[in-house]
Amino acid sequence: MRKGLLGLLGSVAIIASACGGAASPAPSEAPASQAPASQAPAASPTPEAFDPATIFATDYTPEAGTPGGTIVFGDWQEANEFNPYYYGNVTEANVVSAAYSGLLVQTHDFRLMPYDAVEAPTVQNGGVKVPGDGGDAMTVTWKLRDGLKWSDGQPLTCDDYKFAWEWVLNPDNTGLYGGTVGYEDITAVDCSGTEMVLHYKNIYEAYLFVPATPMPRHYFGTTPVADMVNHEGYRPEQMPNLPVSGAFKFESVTPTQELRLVRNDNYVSPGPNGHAAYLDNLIWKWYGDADAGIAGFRGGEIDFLTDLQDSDIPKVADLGDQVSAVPALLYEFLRPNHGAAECSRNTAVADRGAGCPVSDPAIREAIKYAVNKAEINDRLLGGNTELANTSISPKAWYFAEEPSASQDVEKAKAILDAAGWVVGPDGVRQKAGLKAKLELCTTTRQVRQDTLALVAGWLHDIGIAAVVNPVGPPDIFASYNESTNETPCALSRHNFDVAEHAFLSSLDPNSSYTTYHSTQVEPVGGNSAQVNDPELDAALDTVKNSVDLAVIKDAMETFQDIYVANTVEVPLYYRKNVELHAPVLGNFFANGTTQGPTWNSWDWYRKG
Amino acid sequence: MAKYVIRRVIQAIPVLFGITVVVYGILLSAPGGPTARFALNPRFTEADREKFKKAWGLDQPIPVQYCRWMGFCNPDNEGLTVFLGPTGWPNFLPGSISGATNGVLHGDFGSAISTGEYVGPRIARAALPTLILAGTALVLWVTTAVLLGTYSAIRRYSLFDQAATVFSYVGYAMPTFWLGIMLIFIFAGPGLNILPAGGMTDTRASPPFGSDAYWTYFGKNPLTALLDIGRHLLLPVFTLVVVNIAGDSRFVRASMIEALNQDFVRTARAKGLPGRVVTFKHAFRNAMLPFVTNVGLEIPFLFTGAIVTETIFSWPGIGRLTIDAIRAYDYPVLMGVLLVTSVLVVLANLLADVAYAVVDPRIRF
Repeated sequence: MRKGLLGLLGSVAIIASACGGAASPAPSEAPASQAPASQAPAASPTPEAFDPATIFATDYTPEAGTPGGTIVFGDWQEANEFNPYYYGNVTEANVVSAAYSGLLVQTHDFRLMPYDAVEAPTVQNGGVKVPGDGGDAMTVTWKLRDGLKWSDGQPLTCDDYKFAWEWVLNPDNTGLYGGTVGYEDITAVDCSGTEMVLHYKNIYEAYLFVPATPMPRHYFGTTPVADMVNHEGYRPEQMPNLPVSGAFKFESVTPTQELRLVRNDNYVSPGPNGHAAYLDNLIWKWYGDADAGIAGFRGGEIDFLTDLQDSDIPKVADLGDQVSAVPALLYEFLRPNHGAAECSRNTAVADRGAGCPVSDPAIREAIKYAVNKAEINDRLLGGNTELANTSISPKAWYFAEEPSASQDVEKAKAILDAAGWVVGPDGVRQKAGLKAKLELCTTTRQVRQDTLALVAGWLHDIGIAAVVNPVGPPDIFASYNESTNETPCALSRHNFDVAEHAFLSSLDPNSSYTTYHSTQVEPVGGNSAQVNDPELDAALDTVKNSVDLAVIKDAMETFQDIYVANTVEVPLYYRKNVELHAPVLGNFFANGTTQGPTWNSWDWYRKG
Repeated sequence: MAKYVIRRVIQAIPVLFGITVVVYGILLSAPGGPTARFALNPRFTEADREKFKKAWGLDQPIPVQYCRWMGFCNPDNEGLTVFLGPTGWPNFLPGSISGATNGVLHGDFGSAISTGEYVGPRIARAALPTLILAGTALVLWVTTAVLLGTYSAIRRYSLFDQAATVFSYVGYAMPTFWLGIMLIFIFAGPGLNILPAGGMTDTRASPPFGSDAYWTYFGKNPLTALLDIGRHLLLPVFTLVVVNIAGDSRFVRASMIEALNQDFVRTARAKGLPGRVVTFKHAFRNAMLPFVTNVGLEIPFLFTGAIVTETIFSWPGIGRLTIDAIRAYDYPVLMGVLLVTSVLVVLANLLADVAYAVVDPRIRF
C-alpha cells in the first residue's frame, strides 16, 4: 500500500487543516482474521464476531480500456517532492500514487487490494503469527508477485522493500512524513525468493502498511541518506532517470509549469489480467489558484481537476456528473482544551479570573448542545458537507453509530445550572470566582471565522462569553520548540480554550493514540487538548497492543462511546473530496482515501 | 559622468549589503519556516524537526546562516576558522584564492528547500517568462500612456480628455486581481472560451516553455509557438496594461500641460512655428523628462514580475516563483529573488539618473 498511508494520515491531516485542502486518507481496514488472544495488557470485554474477509471484498471491476492517449490533470498546489517517504501534500500523493507501487492498494470502496503482494498476510492464512517465530512478538510473511520490475528493467524484489526499511531507519534520515512508526518495530527482514519475512519486536496492528513502498537499492544503494534529505536523486533534472515501480514513470519535471509522466512499459498491473497502463502520458499542469483551474477545466485545457474543497461545489454544480464529491476522511471540529492548569493566556480573557473554564466537563457538554451544526452546514457551506458525530469516519471498518447531538439550548443551560455555573449580573456565568469567558481560536480562513462567529453567538445565548481570535497557521500550528507560551493560540502550548480546525479522520485506529492518550501531551505527542481520561486511555492501549481485529473494533467502539459521552471534542462535519473529471476519462473510480484518484491509473484510458 | 557612475556603483554596495542583512533577519525571525509543513503531524517528533533543520543548516543562529549564505563563512569550519576558506585564506575572497565555493559572493545562491534545485538557475529560468510578460506590458502601456496623456493635454477638457480621465480613475482604482479574474470569466473557459485561462503554452500541443524539448519544438514550429504564447499573453498583458496606463497617462498629461504653459512654448508660438512643431519638438521633449525618470523606476518591475497577475494567470515567472517560495518558506529562493530585485532597483535608479542627464543637456554630474 502506498506511501506509508498510515504514516501519512496524520501529516495529511495537518496539511488539510492548515491549507484547507481536502485530503483523502486511506482506509486501513487491516485484515487479520480470527486471531489468537491479543497481547493487550488490559483485559478487554468479549469482542463481537467480525469477519475480516470483508476488508478485502472490493467491488472494483474496470472495463477493458484502449491503449493510447494523454490525460491532463490540473491542480493549484504544485507537487515538488517525489520521494514516496517525504511527500506531504495531496497533489504529491496523487503523483506518487501513479508512479509507485506498494504491497497493497486502497480501493475506491475503502477495501484493500493486493498490489505488489500476492495477498495480504493475516492470522487466518498463516501470514501473521502472534507470538511470532524465534522469540518475535509478531512475524509477518509477505509473498510478492513474480516478475516485478523497476521502470529501468531491473528486477523489483524483496530486497528493495528491505532497503526501504533500512533507509527509513537510517540515523541520517529526517523529514519522513510518516515518521518511523512501525519500521522501528521491525528487527529484521528476511528475503527468500518472493517471500519477505518481517520480524517484529512489538505487536504492530498497522503491519499491513509497512514497508509502504519499495526503494531501488540498485539506484540508491550508494547514495548517502543525508544527501537524499537534500533531494539528491529527486531533483527536477534527475527525475527522468529515477527508477519507479508504478504504472507511470517521470518524463520531465518543469517547476511552476507542469510535470509529465509516461507509461512504464516494465509495469504489470495487479490482478489476473495484468497489463501495462493504457495511457501514454499523464500530465499535471499547475494553476495559480483553484478558480483558474476550474476555468481551465471548463475551457478544455485539462481533463481532470483535483484538490478542490466542498466550498467549491456551488461553483461547479452546473457540470453535473463531471463533479465527483466523495466523502473525505477529514473532519472539522471544535477542540476544547481539557487542561485545568494551562489554557488561554490571551489578555482578552484575563478578566475571567484564574482557572480554565473548559476544564469543567459541564462547559464542554454545554458547548456541544449550544452549537447548531446543521445551521453551519446550511449557512456557510451550502449544505455540502456531512455532519459528524465522532472523530471516526463512517467509512471506517470500526465506525460505531453514535447518537447525534443537535442544538438544545435549554439542555445546555440546565447542564450549566446543575454544575453550579450561575448567571452573573453581566449575563456571563461564573463559578467559584471564575467567569465562563473563552477564547475561540482558529486560522484566518474566512469560513472558520464565520463558524466561530456563529458559535460565539450561541454560547452567548447560554451565558458563556467568547472572544474569537483568528491567527495565522504558523502561530496556531507552531510546533512545541518553535513556539512559546505567548504564541497566540499555539495548540502545542495549550494556549487556547477552544480551537477550530480540521483533522484527519484516520482509518488507522492506532493513530488516535497520539492525539488522545494522556501520555501524549506535547512535547511527547500530539495531545494538544490535554485529554486525560483513564477509560479512553484503556481503550487506546487495547488497540495499540492487538492485531485481533475483533478486539480492535470493540475497543474503538468503546473509544467512540467515551468520546461522545464525555465530549472529548465537538465534531462539526466531514469534508468532501471534490474533483472534476471530463467524460473522456474511462475507468475513473473516485477514491476518498489518501490513495487519491490515481490509485488505479493503470486502468485509466481515454474514451473516443 | 563616468566618475558619477562609478561613485554610484560603489555607494550601492553597502546599500545592497544592508538590504540583505535586514531582509534576511526579518525573514528568518518571522514565525513559521520550512518545518511548518510538519506542524501537528503527531508522527513527526521534535527530534525529527531538529534533525530536519540541522540537515538544511537552519539550526544555526541567524547571523551564522547569513554569513554562510553570503559566503563570508565556511560551513565546514567552526570557531574562528569559520572565516577561513579551504586554502586558509579568508572565505569571502574569490574561489581561486580561498578555495571557497559557498555563498552569494562565489555565485552560489544555495538550493531550494522544497525541490533541491539550485536557486540561481531556478531564478534564471523564471526570468524569461517574466521578461516576456512584463516587457510586453511595459512597452504597450508606456506607448499608450504617452499617446493618451499627450493627446489629453493637447485637447484638454475636451470629451476625449474627460473620457480619458474617467478611464484613468477607474483603471487606477481597479484591483489587479479582480480585473484578472473577470477577464478569465469573460474570455476563458467559464465565458466565451476563446482564450486560455492560464499557463504560458498549450500543454497538449507543446512541451513546457524553456525546456530543451520546447526549443526543439520552437525551431520546427516557430509561428505556431509564437501564436501559442501570444494567445496566452493576451489576458495577463491586458490586465497589467489597463491598471498601469491609468497612472502613467495622468502623469504624462500633467507634465505636458505644464510644458505647454512654459514661456519657451509661448515664444515658439509667437515666432510663428506650426502647432505640431511647437507641441512635439519643444513641449513634448521637455514634458518627457520626468516621465523618463518614472519609466526608469519601473524597469525593475520587468524582473520582479507582477506577482498577482502571474499567480492569477499561472504564468511561470519570477512573481509566481516568489509566491510559491513564500508559501513554502523556501528561504534560499526568497533571498535569491530579493537580492536580484534589490540589485535591479539600484541599477534602475542609476540608469534613470544617467538617462535624465542624457536627455536633458542642462543636467551635468
